[in-house]
Amino acid sequence: MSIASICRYGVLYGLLFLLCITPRAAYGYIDPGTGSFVLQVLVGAALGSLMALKIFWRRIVSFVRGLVSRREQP
Amino acid sequence: MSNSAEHQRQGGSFRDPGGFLYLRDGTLYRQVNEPCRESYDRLMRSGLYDRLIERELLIPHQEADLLLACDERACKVLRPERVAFISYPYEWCFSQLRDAALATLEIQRQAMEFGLSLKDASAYNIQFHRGRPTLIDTLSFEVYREGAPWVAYRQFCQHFLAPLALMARVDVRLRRLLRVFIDGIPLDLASRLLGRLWLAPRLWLHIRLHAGSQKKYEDRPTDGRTGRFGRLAFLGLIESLQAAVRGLHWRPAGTQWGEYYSFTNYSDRAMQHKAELVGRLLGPCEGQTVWDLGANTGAFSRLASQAGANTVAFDVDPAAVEKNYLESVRLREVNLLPLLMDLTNPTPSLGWASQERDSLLARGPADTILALALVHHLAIGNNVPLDRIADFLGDSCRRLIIEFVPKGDSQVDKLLASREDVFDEYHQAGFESAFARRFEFGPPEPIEGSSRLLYLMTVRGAGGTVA
Repeated sequence: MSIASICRYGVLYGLLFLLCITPRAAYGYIDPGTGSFVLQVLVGAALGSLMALKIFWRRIVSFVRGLVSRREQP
Repeated sequence: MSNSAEHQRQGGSFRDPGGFLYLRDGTLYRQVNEPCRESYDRLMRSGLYDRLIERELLIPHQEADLLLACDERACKVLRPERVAFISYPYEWCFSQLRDAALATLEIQRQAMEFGLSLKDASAYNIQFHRGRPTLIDTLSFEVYREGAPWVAYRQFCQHFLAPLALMARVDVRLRRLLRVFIDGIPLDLASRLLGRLWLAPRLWLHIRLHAGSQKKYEDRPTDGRTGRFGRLAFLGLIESLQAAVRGLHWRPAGTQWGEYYSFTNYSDRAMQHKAELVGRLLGPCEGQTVWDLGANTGAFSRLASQAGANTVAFDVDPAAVEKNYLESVRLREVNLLPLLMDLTNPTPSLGWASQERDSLLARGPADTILALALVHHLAIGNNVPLDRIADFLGDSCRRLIIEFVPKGDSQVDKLLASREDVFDEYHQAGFESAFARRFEFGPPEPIEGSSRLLYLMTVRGAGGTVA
């Protein structure tokens, strides 16, 4: 990889990182608590990844179930 | 717009500028203000309202004439279905709070499917309506904006997760902290009381780490802004909270009252005769309110609820109320509400101006009170003079079915076994004399196979006749 393309990817990932930490407005009439918001953002990636795995797993299970039930049908 | 003097604003409905509840000519209305118009319209048009009504998770309402509004800020007026008896989290048993928590998370999950989100997760927004935990605040929704964290996360943890964890892992009596901390149990306190959480990673995250994060950022305002929190992360958070709540259990065992019926000196015949008498004295009571004080697991409450009365079964023992609630869920009962209540220290008025949450008495009077095998516990177990018991009951109901348990009964003798008998007035004549000041009544019905007496009384000046 050339130095130019490394720089290009660097800028791209840098922009993506900046997008991720771009502030989002908090809504609602109750005080959500700064610490509560920060914690959600900090653990969000882990929670999101786990959720993606769960969704993927559920799809596999339902696909296999579908195959089994189709075979059982005469 | 009509004169605001005709309207009675509800004490617990003032925090959200999006709307509030009020009574007008005895009918309950909810005013929707302009800031809530968009989210209310989205709730109704997206299909979320129909979905939640179908699943009995949201209180149904009808739209009313805008002329019935309380003030000029109104853009809609709603007429919600009335809840038979408003109860509070500090009166719920473990499984009631757990079911209310799961209902809140399920509502949030459903809402996200329709592009909405809960903007609060207050346990006070959940009521037991027709036996099911139901969201009563139609204006709790806001339009979901991709990337924003859950604004109600802190409130959910304080109102539901922390008390449930404390009840399940430390002591079920810590429910009472909800009465002290009206906006939920502070997470740093819950974290300290919970002790080690090595084998409970979700509690560690949502309570201990959450408390730590609150402390770290308590003096650092984010100006209402924070980083990005994607939709998948949001769903992961809700799933994690659901799993944390589902992982908490409490099994009632070893408390004073949960096994009460096994330890009484009642013969089967006496119990059967007492049930026959209570059923007869209750008479037709469909649509009436009946409070069963000292209900234990609700054996006699069910005589009223099965006759169609909106029945609240109060007891002081968490095990008895837990058993009663689980039974009512199993039987899918729609008009029996088991609640925790210490009659020697009943729920006071609480919150802002002492008007936000009503006392027990403010939620009465009941049409009928059942006070069965109760008076000796109050009079001898707690040294409350009989005339004061009569005053309390006289203020709480219109009609009273009360059992007098005389000295010589094994339950009374047990109360007197370890103390001096200073209760000279505790006999049938003393009881009748104390209650005659507040009630009219005829001769009592003796309960066969026991020395106990059953009275039907009517509050003086309340109208009606004694059978």
